[in-house]
Amino acid sequence: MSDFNSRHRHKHRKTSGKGFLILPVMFFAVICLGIYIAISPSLKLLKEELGVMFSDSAKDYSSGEYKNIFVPVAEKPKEVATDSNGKEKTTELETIPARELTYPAYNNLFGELIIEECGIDVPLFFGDDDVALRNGVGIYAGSFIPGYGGTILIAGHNNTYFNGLKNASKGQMVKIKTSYGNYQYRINDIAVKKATDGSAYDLAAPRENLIMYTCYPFDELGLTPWRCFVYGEFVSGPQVVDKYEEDDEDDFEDFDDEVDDNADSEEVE
Amino acid sequence: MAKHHTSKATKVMYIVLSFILSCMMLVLSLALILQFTVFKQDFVTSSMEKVSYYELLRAEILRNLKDLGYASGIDESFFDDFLDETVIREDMTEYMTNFYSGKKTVVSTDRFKQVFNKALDEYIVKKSINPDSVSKENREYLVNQAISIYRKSVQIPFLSRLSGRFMEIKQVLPITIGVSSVFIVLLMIILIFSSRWKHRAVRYICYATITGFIGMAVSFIALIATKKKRNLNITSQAVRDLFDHISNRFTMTFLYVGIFFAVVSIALFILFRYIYPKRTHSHVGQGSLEVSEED
Repeated sequence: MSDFNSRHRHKHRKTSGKGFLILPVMFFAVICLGIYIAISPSLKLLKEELGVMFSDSAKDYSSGEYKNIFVPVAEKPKEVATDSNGKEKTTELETIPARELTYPAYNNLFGELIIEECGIDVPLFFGDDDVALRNGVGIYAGSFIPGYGGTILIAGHNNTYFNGLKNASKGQMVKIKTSYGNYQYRINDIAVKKATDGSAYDLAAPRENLIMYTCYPFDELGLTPWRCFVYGEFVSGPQVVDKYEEDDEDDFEDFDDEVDDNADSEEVE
Repeated sequence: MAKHHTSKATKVMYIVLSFILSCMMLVLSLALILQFTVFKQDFVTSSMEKVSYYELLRAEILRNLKDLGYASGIDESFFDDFLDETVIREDMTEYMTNFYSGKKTVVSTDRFKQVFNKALDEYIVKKSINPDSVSKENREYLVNQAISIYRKSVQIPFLSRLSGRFMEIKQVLPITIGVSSVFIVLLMIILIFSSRWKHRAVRYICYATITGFIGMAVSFIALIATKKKRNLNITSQAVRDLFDHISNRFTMTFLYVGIFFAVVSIALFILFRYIYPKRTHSHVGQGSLEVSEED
């Protein structure tokens, strides 16, 4: 009887409920392992697929359409240097180290474009998508921003911000204000070309130049395949230089001089 | 000694059966969740209604069309009363029906084209523009661009990309539900009728339902905790809101199924405790030793 009692108590201890947790957890762990083994060959593919659908950061829909980084800088009075004979001296171009300016991100409002004679005074964006052209005019991201010594290609709608381009003529001055300097260009050509005409612009030009374009004809209903291109040549404005590269070049020159000096002294010995 | 081995073998067999039952229950749960959520057109369309999808989408389409207007000489006022929500609703319903029936996911733009052309004609009259001054090619170019904007807006991103796999899973789901249901019933019959001690069957079925609960709970927590779903590569606020709503409803379904498993598990556990002492006490002096060895 005592043997029966001990068995009976033992049996009640076994049904305390621990088994109801341990076994299901083990079952679940085995199922997870099975699933992992089953999908592991296609895990890389799955990650790639998800990588296309999901980015690394969440898009913020609450913020505005664009970021304004434009802080106007005062125009410096032009200093005219003269030589001993009282003649105007050719002064070197003003420069800004690249590290001292904030390069605009896509859809940043970073400047202002003004053509007084045409009644144009519009916000300037980096990038020329709908956000930029809805709120101003935009620099094609594959071209240059002012000061970098290349082609600046600016687009705008002919019925809104670039409507005034219909009054553009040679010799008019175009001002571009940015947070790192103010630039001036002189209109030197105007042409109407097909939108698909690749010769309308040269993005690899070795000199700073401005190209503004919009749909043509102006004030017409409908989309047209023609574009009005307004070309401008660089007049003034600070040039952006990569200070590190300059320093590196100076260092190399110093190093070369040192090597030459050492070689000379060795030859003398 | 031989009886002890038989008892061990029986126990292992019951554990294996319980494990298979767990797997089947999880497969059935997942298949049912998918079948009645993302693989059901009504689930998506009801979400569209709840997040005012058509209203948001109309605003986005109009904003994009206004941009087109800036480039083509159309005033913003043109779009004030342009494009009724019903046009978008009808085209979206047709698009979704095509997707769920495995047809080509193409957005019908006939209605939109008609509405746009009509509005453009009215605009030309209203603005006293000489119709002959509007180039036919330029107008056609404009209409085609507007249609393209409309089509892109109505299309749901990634849907056509996923349609192949989606249809494969959709076709397999009913079979999966049927097969796993049959297996579950069979396994339960085997567990209940293979032993004269019914509390044992209740216990092993309970193990399976608890596994189901754990599976659902872990899935729910994992879906809630994952931050990646917030980073969906979509520029449209309307689609983003729709995705969030569908995602939340889908996640909550795991919670509901988990609660179901928890309730069933508790009921089975109570039943087990209720049957278990009766069995043992009723067999005191007759088969109590046998019971204790087997259990």
